[in-house]
Amino acid sequence: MTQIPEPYTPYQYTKSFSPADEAAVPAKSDGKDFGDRSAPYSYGVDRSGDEIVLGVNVALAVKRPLLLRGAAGCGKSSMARDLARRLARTYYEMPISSRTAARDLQWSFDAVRRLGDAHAGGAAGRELVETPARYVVPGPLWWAFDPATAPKRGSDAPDKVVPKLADPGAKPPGAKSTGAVLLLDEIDKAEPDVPNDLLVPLGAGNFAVTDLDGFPVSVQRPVLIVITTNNERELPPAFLRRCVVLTLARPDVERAIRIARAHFTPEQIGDDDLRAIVRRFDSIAEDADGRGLRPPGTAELLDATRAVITMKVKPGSREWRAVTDSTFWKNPEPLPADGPPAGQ
Amino acid sequence: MNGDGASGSPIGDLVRAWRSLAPDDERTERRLAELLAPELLEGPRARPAPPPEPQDPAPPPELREDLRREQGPAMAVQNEREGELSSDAPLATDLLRDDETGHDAIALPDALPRTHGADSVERVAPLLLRQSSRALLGALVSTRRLAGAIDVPRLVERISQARPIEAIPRLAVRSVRPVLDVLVDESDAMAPFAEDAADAVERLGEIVGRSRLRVLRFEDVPTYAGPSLEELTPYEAPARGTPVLLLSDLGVAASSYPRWRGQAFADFGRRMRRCGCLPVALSPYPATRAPLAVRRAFTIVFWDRGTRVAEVARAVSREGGGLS
Repeated sequence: MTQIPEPYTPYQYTKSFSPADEAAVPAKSDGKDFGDRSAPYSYGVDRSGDEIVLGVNVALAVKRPLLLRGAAGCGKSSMARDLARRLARTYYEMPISSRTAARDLQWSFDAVRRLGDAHAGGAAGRELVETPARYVVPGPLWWAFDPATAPKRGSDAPDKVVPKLADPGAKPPGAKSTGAVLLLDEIDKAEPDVPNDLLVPLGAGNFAVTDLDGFPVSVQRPVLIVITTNNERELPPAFLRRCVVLTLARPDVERAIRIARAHFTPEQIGDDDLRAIVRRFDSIAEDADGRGLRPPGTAELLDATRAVITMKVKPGSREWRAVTDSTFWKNPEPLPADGPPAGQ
Repeated sequence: MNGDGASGSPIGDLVRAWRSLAPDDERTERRLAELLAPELLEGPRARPAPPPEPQDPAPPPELREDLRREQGPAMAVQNEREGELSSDAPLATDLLRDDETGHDAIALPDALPRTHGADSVERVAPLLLRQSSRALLGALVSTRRLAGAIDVPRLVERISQARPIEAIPRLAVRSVRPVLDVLVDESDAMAPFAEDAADAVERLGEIVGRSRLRVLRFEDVPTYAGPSLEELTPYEAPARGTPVLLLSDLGVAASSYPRWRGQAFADFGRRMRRCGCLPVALSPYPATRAPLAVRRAFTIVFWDRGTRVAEVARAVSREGGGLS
């Protein structure tokens, strides 16, 4: 006897963030976006979508960073940009690398420029060198926390001494910014000490600029910090305690279709053709999981769909299979010849 | 985060979330607690079970003497700092015995303190303190890079000599190596430290990233190593600059220490150095126990609760983990 699964009952609470309301979200890119991250993120109404929305609401309520865990290409970074758009906030992002220090997120000091000014000599050169704000470059945390002091680094010197910097954030299209969303992308790439060095700025929402005699920077508007990790490195427990942790699982077939549909219109690819690609994606991912290999992520699903549309290959054909396989399968081990079905 | 100082306890966070989100069913309440204060959901800690009945009485004195001869100095406990052998060293069997059973309990020396596991079976305490193991292993696999703050004294010196500034001199900072080879010694003499080795591998994976860690096993000497002892192949040196970390006693704890074995370890270490790699050994025995040739070939770090992070950082940077 086949058991009918019970319908999923969503969490019951007061939502300050409710992505079901799509009104504020542009259907298309504003032209300044790039790649996959330009399209709206599909949260869906299933269990995983509900978990994500709850996590976002909790992070907003307790004013803690939202730490997104998940495999590469599962949509963590896209979600941050989408949150900024839906919350009508200015969006900042900082990709983390092994060379990123915690201070880079707060500010940096352009000592080479100061040295150049010092060598220029003369009274004018001396005036420049004696104004350290000229050489301070605000980091993304400063911009996100306090966009009023960041452009002039808290200085009231004339623009020719301390040039006014442009806000690097992406403003929400067609709406007044209500705050900031800051993406710290792939924190696990940083040296192990970096997360611990960020405890105070992230926890207390303030820091002092030592190169400006301790000029205080503190949160002046609502800020949601989104941090992503591919789980390459374990993060310190003290850091994890200060975050709301959310794990993004690989989407199932229906969710993957919704995600792809958010990027491609029915005119670009029909429902049946899209479903065929998603089924192929799903079967290859399951095969990879079963063999302990790297499964494809959402980014690869979008790549494959884009390739099929651009190259105009017919679903189920030899070319279609070659295109999808080469996009989905990036392991050194070959796909089994009789392996996952062709998707139809 | 809105400037109200979002610091606070998990309970405070939970109260804030409760007020803001007003959960309307038990499932949502529970999920909020899971996200913000999971410790609230943990029940009271289980009482430890009573110690098991003695199953394996201690060997009689004459057999103990035989065992001592058989094990030789291998499991003898030594003076930690001076590396001297204790004449009354307990046997390996003693060290691993549950002395709460009341059978021939021998007080463990301070070098090997004991802990109670969750199942109440007494175990020898780990070689590294939990709270410092991350820092210690991190120091072991770190290098120093000239990527820190500007080295003002060097810069001033150059300017004062009216020499051109070709590059801004910077202070050194420690940085974790991008990749790491770990060779785990699975010889019989290392069996008492198998859990420590597994812990160390786990910790190293957390520090450098599991995908950047290659773990190989070997027996006797590391010349042949593989994912398991059944798949041994000749060990090829990794890319230049990669540290090669041995979790090994370097053969000194074996019941017999043939000359060829020490020579093989020394040859291995020298070969790694020739290939531009940094051979480091984390050994449960002090370096003084290893032959001179092995000590010269490897940076040996004493795998012990008394070893300090600064000592490790100094040893590694002195021995080739220097500036790069």
